[in-house]
Amino acid sequence: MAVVEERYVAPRVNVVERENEVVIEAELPGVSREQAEIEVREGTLYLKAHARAIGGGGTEGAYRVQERPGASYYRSFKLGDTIDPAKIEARLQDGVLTLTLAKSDKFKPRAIVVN
Amino acid sequence: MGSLIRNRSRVAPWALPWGMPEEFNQLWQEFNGPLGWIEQSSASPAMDVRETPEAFIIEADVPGMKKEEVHIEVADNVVTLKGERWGQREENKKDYHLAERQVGSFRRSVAIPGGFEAGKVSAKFEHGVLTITLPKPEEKKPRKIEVRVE
Repeated sequence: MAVVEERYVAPRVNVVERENEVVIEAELPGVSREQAEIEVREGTLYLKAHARAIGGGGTEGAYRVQERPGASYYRSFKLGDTIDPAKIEARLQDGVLTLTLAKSDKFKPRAIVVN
Repeated sequence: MGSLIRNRSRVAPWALPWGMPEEFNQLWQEFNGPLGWIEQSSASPAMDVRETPEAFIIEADVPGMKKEEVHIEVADNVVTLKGERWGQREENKKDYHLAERQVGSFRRSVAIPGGFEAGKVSAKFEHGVLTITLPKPEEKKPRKIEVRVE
Protein backbone atom coordinates (compact mmCIF):
# COMPACT_ATOMS: atom_id res chain seq x y z
CA MET A 1 0.00 0.00 0.00
CA ALA A 2 1.31 3.39 -0.92
CA VAL A 3 1.78 5.88 1.86
CA VAL A 4 0.79 9.34 0.78
CA GLU A 5 2.85 11.88 2.61
CA GLU A 6 1.44 15.35 2.87
CA ARG A 7 3.94 18.16 2.99
CA TYR A 8 2.96 21.65 4.05
CA VAL A 9 4.65 24.91 3.24
CA ALA A 10 3.84 28.23 4.92
CA PRO A 11 2.83 30.74 2.27
CA ARG A 12 4.50 34.15 2.21
CA VAL A 13 2.19 36.80 3.64
CA ASN A 14 1.85 40.52 4.06
CA VAL A 15 -0.25 41.71 6.99
CA VAL A 16 -1.33 45.34 6.97
CA GLU A 17 -3.32 47.08 9.66
CA ARG A 18 -5.60 49.89 8.66
CA GLU A 19 -7.93 52.05 10.72
CA ASN A 20 -10.94 49.74 10.53
CA GLU A 21 -9.48 46.47 9.32
CA VAL A 22 -6.53 44.13 9.06
CA VAL A 23 -5.66 42.79 5.62
CA ILE A 24 -3.76 39.54 5.10
CA GLU A 25 -2.39 38.79 1.62
CA ALA A 26 -1.13 35.24 1.20
CA GLU A 27 0.68 33.93 -1.88
CA LEU A 28 -0.88 30.68 -3.05
CA PRO A 29 0.33 30.21 -6.62
CA GLY A 30 -1.40 27.35 -8.42
CA VAL A 31 -4.32 27.23 -5.98
CA SER A 32 -7.87 27.60 -7.26
CA ARG A 33 -10.82 28.87 -5.24
CA GLU A 34 -12.10 25.36 -4.55
CA GLN A 35 -8.75 24.30 -3.12
CA ALA A 36 -8.49 27.06 -0.50
CA GLU A 37 -9.87 26.33 2.97
CA ILE A 38 -10.29 29.06 5.55
CA GLU A 39 -11.59 28.42 9.03
CA VAL A 40 -11.89 30.47 12.20
CA ARG A 41 -11.83 28.46 15.39
CA GLU A 42 -11.37 29.71 18.97
CA GLY A 43 -9.84 33.00 17.98
CA THR A 44 -7.45 31.56 15.41
CA LEU A 45 -7.74 31.75 11.64
CA TYR A 46 -6.53 28.64 9.81
CA LEU A 47 -5.55 28.81 6.18
CA LYS A 48 -5.05 25.62 4.24
CA ALA A 49 -4.79 24.88 0.54
CA HIS A 50 -4.74 21.24 -0.38
CA ALA A 51 -2.93 19.43 -3.15
CA ARG A 52 -2.07 22.42 -5.23
CA ALA A 53 -2.46 22.24 -8.94
CA ILE A 54 1.02 21.96 -10.36
CA GLY A 55 0.12 24.30 -13.18
CA GLY A 56 -1.50 24.31 -16.55
CA GLY A 57 0.89 21.93 -18.27
CA GLY A 58 0.22 18.74 -16.32
CA THR A 59 2.98 16.80 -14.63
CA GLU A 60 4.39 14.62 -17.40
CA GLY A 61 8.06 14.63 -18.27
CA ALA A 62 11.25 14.58 -16.26
CA TYR A 63 12.05 17.44 -13.89
CA ARG A 64 15.28 19.18 -14.87
CA VAL A 65 14.84 21.95 -12.32
CA GLN A 66 12.46 21.86 -9.36
CA GLU A 67 12.32 24.93 -7.16
CA ARG A 68 8.61 25.31 -6.58
CA PRO A 69 7.51 23.79 -3.28
CA GLY A 70 4.99 21.43 -4.90
CA ALA A 71 3.14 20.95 -1.65
CA SER A 72 0.06 22.02 0.23
CA TYR A 73 -0.01 25.34 2.04
CA TYR A 74 -0.79 25.83 5.69
CA ARG A 75 -0.62 28.77 8.08
CA SER A 76 -2.56 30.01 11.10
CA PHE A 77 -3.05 33.48 12.53
CA LYS A 78 -4.02 34.37 16.10
CA LEU A 79 -6.73 36.96 15.78
CA GLY A 80 -6.81 38.85 19.09
CA ASP A 81 -9.75 40.75 20.55
CA THR A 82 -9.86 43.57 18.03
CA ILE A 83 -11.05 41.35 15.17
CA ASP A 84 -14.72 40.53 14.69
CA PRO A 85 -14.68 36.84 13.60
CA ALA A 86 -18.06 37.25 11.91
CA LYS A 87 -16.73 39.90 9.56
CA ILE A 88 -13.99 38.23 7.55
CA GLU A 89 -13.99 38.40 3.77
CA ALA A 90 -11.84 36.31 1.45
CA ARG A 91 -10.93 36.82 -2.19
CA LEU A 92 -8.58 34.76 -4.34
CA GLN A 93 -7.13 36.24 -7.49
CA ASP A 94 -4.04 35.38 -9.55
CA GLY A 95 -2.74 33.08 -6.83
CA VAL A 96 -3.04 35.66 -4.03
CA LEU A 97 -5.57 35.22 -1.24
CA THR A 98 -6.70 38.49 0.32
CA LEU A 99 -8.41 38.22 3.69
CA THR A 100 -10.06 41.37 5.01
CA LEU A 101 -10.68 41.20 8.74
CA ALA A 102 -12.91 43.94 10.08
CA LYS A 103 -12.18 45.28 13.55
CA SER A 104 -14.87 45.02 16.21
CA ASP A 105 -16.93 48.18 16.49
CA LYS A 106 -15.67 48.88 20.00
CA PHE A 107 -12.08 49.01 18.74
CA LYS A 108 -12.75 51.30 15.81
CA PRO A 109 -11.70 54.91 16.27
CA ARG A 110 -14.66 57.06 17.12
CA ALA A 111 -15.01 60.83 17.17
CA ILE A 112 -16.81 62.20 20.19
CA VAL A 113 -18.81 65.30 19.67
CA VAL A 114 -18.48 67.94 22.36
CA ASN A 115 -21.83 69.30 23.35
CA MET B 1 56.55 38.66 -18.48
CA GLY B 2 56.24 36.98 -15.11
CA SER B 3 53.13 38.96 -14.25
CA LEU B 4 51.49 37.91 -17.48
CA ILE B 5 51.85 34.25 -16.59
CA ARG B 6 50.40 34.83 -13.14
CA ASN B 7 47.48 36.57 -14.71
CA ARG B 8 46.89 33.73 -17.05
CA SER B 9 46.98 31.13 -14.29
CA ARG B 10 44.35 33.13 -12.44
CA VAL B 11 42.08 33.02 -15.48
CA ALA B 12 42.59 29.37 -16.29
CA PRO B 13 40.56 27.77 -13.43
CA TRP B 14 37.64 30.01 -14.34
CA ALA B 15 37.42 28.67 -17.86
CA LEU B 16 38.02 25.11 -16.74
CA PRO B 17 37.09 24.41 -13.11
CA TRP B 18 40.12 23.35 -11.08
CA GLY B 19 42.18 22.97 -14.22
CA MET B 20 40.64 19.62 -14.96
CA PRO B 21 40.77 18.00 -18.37
CA GLU B 22 38.05 18.94 -20.83
CA GLU B 23 36.33 15.55 -20.61
CA PHE B 24 35.91 15.87 -16.89
CA ASN B 25 34.52 19.35 -17.27
CA GLN B 26 31.83 18.03 -19.56
CA LEU B 27 31.04 15.27 -17.14
CA TRP B 28 30.78 17.76 -14.32
CA GLN B 29 28.32 19.83 -16.33
CA GLU B 30 26.23 16.80 -17.11
CA PHE B 31 26.17 15.82 -13.48
CA ASN B 32 24.88 19.26 -12.57
CA GLY B 33 22.11 19.07 -15.12
CA PRO B 34 21.94 20.12 -18.72
CA LEU B 35 20.36 23.52 -18.15
CA GLY B 36 22.35 26.68 -17.76
CA TRP B 37 21.26 29.46 -15.42
CA ILE B 38 22.43 32.66 -16.89
CA GLU B 39 21.33 35.18 -14.32
CA GLN B 40 18.80 35.81 -11.62
CA SER B 41 17.89 38.38 -8.99
CA SER B 42 16.38 38.13 -5.51
CA ALA B 43 12.81 38.80 -6.63
CA SER B 44 13.06 36.00 -9.20
CA PRO B 45 10.13 33.61 -9.20
CA ALA B 46 10.59 29.96 -8.22
CA MET B 47 10.68 27.81 -11.34
CA ASP B 48 10.28 24.23 -12.42
CA VAL B 49 11.59 22.97 -15.75
CA ARG B 50 10.32 19.70 -17.16
CA GLU B 51 11.40 17.86 -20.27
CA THR B 52 9.01 15.70 -22.28
CA PRO B 53 9.88 13.95 -25.57
CA GLU B 54 8.26 16.84 -27.46
CA ALA B 55 9.05 19.94 -25.43
CA PHE B 56 10.56 21.73 -22.47
CA ILE B 57 7.98 23.16 -20.06
CA ILE B 58 8.81 26.02 -17.70
CA GLU B 59 6.49 26.84 -14.80
CA ALA B 60 7.09 29.93 -12.70
CA ASP B 61 5.26 31.08 -9.56
CA VAL B 62 4.24 34.67 -10.10
CA PRO B 63 1.38 35.21 -7.62
CA GLY B 64 -0.32 38.58 -7.86
CA MET B 65 1.22 39.47 -11.19
CA LYS B 66 -0.85 40.36 -14.22
CA LYS B 67 -0.32 38.91 -17.66
CA GLU B 68 0.88 42.29 -18.92
CA GLU B 69 3.50 42.57 -16.17
CA VAL B 70 5.50 39.52 -17.23
CA HIS B 71 7.64 39.66 -20.36
CA ILE B 72 9.00 36.61 -22.12
CA GLU B 73 11.81 36.89 -24.64
CA VAL B 74 13.30 34.10 -26.70
CA ALA B 75 16.58 34.25 -28.58
CA ASP B 76 19.34 31.76 -29.44
CA ASN B 77 18.09 28.83 -27.33
CA VAL B 78 17.60 31.13 -24.33
CA VAL B 79 14.31 32.09 -22.67
CA THR B 80 14.30 35.25 -20.59
CA LEU B 81 11.62 36.12 -18.07
CA LYS B 82 11.38 39.73 -16.98
CA GLY B 83 9.04 41.61 -14.73
CA GLU B 84 8.43 43.81 -11.75
CA ARG B 85 6.63 42.50 -8.72
CA TRP B 86 4.14 44.39 -6.60
CA GLY B 87 4.96 48.01 -6.81
CA GLN B 88 1.64 48.88 -5.19
CA ARG B 89 2.78 49.08 -1.58
CA GLU B 90 1.05 52.32 -0.72
CA GLU B 91 0.98 52.37 3.04
CA ASN B 92 3.43 53.29 5.74
CA LYS B 93 5.94 50.71 6.83
CA LYS B 94 4.68 50.89 10.40
CA ASP B 95 1.25 49.62 9.31
CA TYR B 96 2.81 46.33 8.20
CA HIS B 97 2.89 43.57 10.76
CA LEU B 98 4.46 41.24 8.22
CA ALA B 99 5.92 41.96 4.78
CA GLU B 100 7.22 38.71 3.36
CA ARG B 101 6.11 39.07 -0.24
CA GLN B 102 9.02 39.75 -2.57
CA VAL B 103 9.24 43.09 -4.31
CA GLY B 104 11.48 44.43 -7.02
CA SER B 105 12.29 43.71 -10.60
CA PHE B 106 13.63 40.41 -11.80
CA ARG B 107 15.23 39.04 -14.89
CA ARG B 108 15.96 35.40 -15.33
CA SER B 109 17.27 33.47 -18.30
CA VAL B 110 17.28 29.76 -18.95
CA ALA B 111 19.39 28.17 -21.68
CA ILE B 112 17.60 25.19 -23.21
CA PRO B 113 19.97 22.44 -24.34
CA GLY B 114 19.32 21.51 -27.94
CA GLY B 115 17.21 24.59 -28.45
CA PHE B 116 13.52 24.96 -29.33
CA GLU B 117 11.24 26.16 -32.11
CA ALA B 118 11.18 29.87 -31.26
CA GLY B 119 8.16 30.46 -33.50
CA LYS B 120 6.05 27.84 -31.71
CA VAL B 121 6.59 28.91 -28.09
CA SER B 122 3.33 29.27 -26.18
CA ALA B 123 2.56 30.67 -22.72
CA LYS B 124 -0.35 30.39 -20.31
CA PHE B 125 -1.24 32.28 -17.16
CA GLU B 126 -3.37 30.62 -14.49
CA HIS B 127 -3.81 31.07 -10.72
CA GLY B 128 -0.56 33.02 -10.49
CA VAL B 129 1.47 30.38 -12.34
CA LEU B 130 3.07 31.10 -15.70
CA THR B 131 3.53 28.06 -17.95
CA ILE B 132 5.76 28.33 -21.02
CA THR B 133 5.91 25.48 -23.53
CA LEU B 134 8.99 25.32 -25.75
CA PRO B 135 8.57 22.70 -28.48
CA LYS B 136 11.79 20.89 -29.41
CA PRO B 137 13.12 21.19 -32.94
CA GLU B 138 11.94 18.35 -35.21
CA GLU B 139 15.41 16.80 -35.44
CA LYS B 140 15.72 16.60 -31.64
CA LYS B 141 12.49 14.71 -31.11
CA PRO B 142 12.85 10.97 -30.51
CA ARG B 143 12.40 8.87 -33.63
CA LYS B 144 11.56 5.26 -33.91
CA ILE B 145 13.68 3.45 -36.46
CA GLU B 146 12.53 0.08 -37.61
CA VAL B 147 15.40 -2.33 -38.15
CA ARG B 148 14.58 -5.03 -40.59
CA VAL B 149 16.01 -8.43 -39.80
CA GLU B 150 16.87 -10.45 -42.87
